[in-house]
Amino acid sequence: MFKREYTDDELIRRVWDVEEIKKLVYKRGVYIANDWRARELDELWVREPEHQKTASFGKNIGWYVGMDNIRAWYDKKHGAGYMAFHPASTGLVELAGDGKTAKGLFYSIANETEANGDGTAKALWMPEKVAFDFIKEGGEWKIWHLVAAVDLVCEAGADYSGQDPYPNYESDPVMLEFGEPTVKELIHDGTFNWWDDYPSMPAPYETWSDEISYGPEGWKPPKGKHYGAKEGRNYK
Amino acid sequence: MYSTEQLTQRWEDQRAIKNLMGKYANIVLLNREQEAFSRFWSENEPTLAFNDGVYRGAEAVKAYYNACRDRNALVASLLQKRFPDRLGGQSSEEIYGIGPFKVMPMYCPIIEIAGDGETAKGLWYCQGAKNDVEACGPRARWTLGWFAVDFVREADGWKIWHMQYVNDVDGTCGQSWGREQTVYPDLPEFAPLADFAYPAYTEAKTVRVYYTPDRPVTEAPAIPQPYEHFADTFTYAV
Repeated sequence: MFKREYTDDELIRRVWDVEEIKKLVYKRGVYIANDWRARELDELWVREPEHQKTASFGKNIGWYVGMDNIRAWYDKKHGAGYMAFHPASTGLVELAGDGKTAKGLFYSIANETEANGDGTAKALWMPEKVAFDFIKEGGEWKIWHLVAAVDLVCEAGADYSGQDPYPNYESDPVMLEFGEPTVKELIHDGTFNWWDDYPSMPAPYETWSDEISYGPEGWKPPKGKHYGAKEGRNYK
Repeated sequence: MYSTEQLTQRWEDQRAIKNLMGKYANIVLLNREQEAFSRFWSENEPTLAFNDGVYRGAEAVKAYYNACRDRNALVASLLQKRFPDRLGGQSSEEIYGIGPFKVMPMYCPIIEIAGDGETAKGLWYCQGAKNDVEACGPRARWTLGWFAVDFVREADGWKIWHMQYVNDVDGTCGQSWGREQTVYPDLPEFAPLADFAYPAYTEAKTVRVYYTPDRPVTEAPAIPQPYEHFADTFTYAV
């Protein structure tokens, strides 16, 4: 791979690029907590039309593609009893050699709570791996592609080792909330832990290509034999 | 636009602020809260706020941390009485720190250093574990909350100036915060803890309402925004 030489000034600016990218991810956590979904899309995601067309938001069962489709699903307000945070930890950021794009991978022990309407609330843990592609627009980093691959969903206080070992995405509350994505594909199946290795770790790279995207254009069927065996409940 | 040297200095400032909060969390973990004020705080009109009130001024903040020390010592002495075979015969210094296990992991730092480099602001999410001995005996709590902090640069480095440590959840581990919590009865051997009281707040007031299923959507403490001088931005002082 081509190895660039950077000046001291370029190096410190690259250091700050990574800091700004992490801050963008952390801000997204606060926006989720504040129930600012519309503001998240308006302020933290891509704005340039050509990037908006290819923006994507994925979960285990596929991707919404294009900001209009993402917005149609994601832009909603919660009521009293809502509380959520997705603390991004274990940040792994690769900044392109040309400094125009970046890729990031985080793990989040996320929680989301919503009222049941009877004086109680459903409080859920949802540990997940969250992957991002970022692109710089007018000097500011923006989210371009996002995949939140959920490992399991468990009510707070419940013993998740007592869960059915075969998750069912037709009844899983997170997947029900995700609805019917633009591109339907089983991209991460918790039945097999991380055999599918998706989203996988970003590798150092020089310049962007769709081959490395966390959007559907960059997805390749995993090589694990479970995939071809079509095991588990979630294959259709 | 900052020069190479300025950017490097600002990165070092940001690292120092992250490290400061890491040290703070470790001092709490070590049950040495009584060292927190002298090591980490500014004496210039500091404020320390919790969900239900605020300490204002150096003496009030210091008194709070000293009370943490007193409570830690009380817990250790009660455990010594409860477990004489294991702890009997040891001095109060030797047993100090037994019992409380308070973990405050700092997630998702959003830090802004003033353009003038004299102050900074930071917001962290804290998914913590507060395991302690209470009047009902040992109790493990999980906490979900926020650290929102103003910092000031002093001669010997960055200091905490105004801190809010506010939680949404502070409940018994293993019980859903969306349902009624089981309350455990007091045990006679730990009853003195029911009488322990931290110093009265300078002002008792609701800073943040804990989560309940009917709580309106409650925003986090404000996100720090880029600013030039402290007078140009908001304060986390309560």
